[in-house]
Amino acid sequence: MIKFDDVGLTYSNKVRALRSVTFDVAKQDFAFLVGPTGGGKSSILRLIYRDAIPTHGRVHVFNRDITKINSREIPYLRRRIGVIFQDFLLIPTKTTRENVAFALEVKGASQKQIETLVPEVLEQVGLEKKAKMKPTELSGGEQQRVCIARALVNKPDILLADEPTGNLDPDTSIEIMEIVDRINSRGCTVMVATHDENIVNRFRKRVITVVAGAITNDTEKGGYTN
Amino acid sequence: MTVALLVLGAFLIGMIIASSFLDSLKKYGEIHVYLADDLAPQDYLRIDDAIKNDSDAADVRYVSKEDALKNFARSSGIDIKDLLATNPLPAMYVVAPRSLKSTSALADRLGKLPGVSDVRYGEKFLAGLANALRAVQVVFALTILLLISASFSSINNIIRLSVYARRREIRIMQLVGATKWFIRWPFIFEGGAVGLFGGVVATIILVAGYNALIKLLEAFEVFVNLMVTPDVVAATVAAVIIPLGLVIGVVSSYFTLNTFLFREEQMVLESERLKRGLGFRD
Repeated sequence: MIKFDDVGLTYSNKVRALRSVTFDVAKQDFAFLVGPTGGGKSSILRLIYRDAIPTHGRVHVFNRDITKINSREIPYLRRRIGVIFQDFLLIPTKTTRENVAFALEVKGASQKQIETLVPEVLEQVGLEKKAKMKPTELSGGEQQRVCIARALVNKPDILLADEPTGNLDPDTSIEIMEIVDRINSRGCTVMVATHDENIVNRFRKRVITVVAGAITNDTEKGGYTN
Repeated sequence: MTVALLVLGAFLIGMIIASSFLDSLKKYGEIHVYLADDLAPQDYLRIDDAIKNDSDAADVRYVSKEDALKNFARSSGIDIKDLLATNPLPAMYVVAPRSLKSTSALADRLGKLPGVSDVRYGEKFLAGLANALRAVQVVFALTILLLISASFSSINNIIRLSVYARRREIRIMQLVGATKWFIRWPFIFEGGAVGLFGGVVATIILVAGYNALIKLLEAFEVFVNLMVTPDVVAATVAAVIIPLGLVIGVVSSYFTLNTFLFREEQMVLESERLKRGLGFRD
């Protein structure tokens, strides 16, 4: 599903984010990307949804070298990848329902499809009663669930989460990760970048450790290592 | 935006008046070809042919001695018949040249025709005034171009602010898979609407202002005669300023937004530059 082949990434300010990263993630895998801040975890995720271009190497997603795709194809790639961020990235002027529906509107879904899919996915994340509330009226955990719902509504094949519990308390963090785990059990490939030890140790999934732009460890059912 | 279109429209009206005035000068550019008295019929025909077939003669009108007398009586209020036994006024041709530039050469040629007693036209006055008016038209045209670029800049700033205010929304749209046009069209619509609104408001103000100016100048008959009718001004200003506002709004929005949407292309170029700089190959 995802394959990194000798990938390096240097940003325009000459910061070398990734050195020579090689790994692959199979379909329906769940992998944590762990490591210190600035290690390259977020950069790996950005490369997958084509928000950055590697300086060298190849990134394959859905068996396609996405470093070579046309810019017009990028929106269609991203519709198959759901992304969750630490800072939620919700539109403050839209309600919960509207924020989730947004992801369907951009791909031209009909009103009927929106009215069917949005309530369904809000129910999956436990926010069916908060559909008309705005982000400012929701707690941090609820806002993150809205993000998850928005990421899920297009039924993505891959779900990427960049520090999804970074702004949440421990109990809410566990709730969020349980939702993500359920998503994975339904067939979605998941990669979560985090430096939350509790989450990683609790869920015992594959752990890829990234330090200073290189993979130092890759363990199935691993725990958090510094 | 509205102010820029307003000033642009004012200069446009200035150009319309200047052009209209220039057009009105053409009658002063007419050549009067006076004929000798007692010409034989074949002489009349020869002169008539020569004038009408001259390539620089756009319009030719024959004024008989009787018509000349009537015109004189109408314009001066004096009937010469009351004073003189015979009509001293000659028959003439009133020739409108194709252009003011060709007037002098045309007058020379017609003056040399046998049977023509005299040729008259306002040579020096016309040349000087035409040059002055053309200079004014060039200044107007340059100013209008400057104002159009000012309007572009104005819309550019409005859309930049709008894009900046909605940059989070744009970013989210990009991340959930919106195409460039899906992101672009609301801003283009907004820019077009702002431009259109500006054009309509500017047109209303200009037409109302022009009508008020005409009323104010009515006491000075000479000036009013030189002004273009309000209907013509209204139609011309509306036909130019409103679509111009719309076009400027749409085009400016398109190019402003591209700065944000070309991020992908910039990333590719940056990546290529880094590869070359760091010595990487694929």
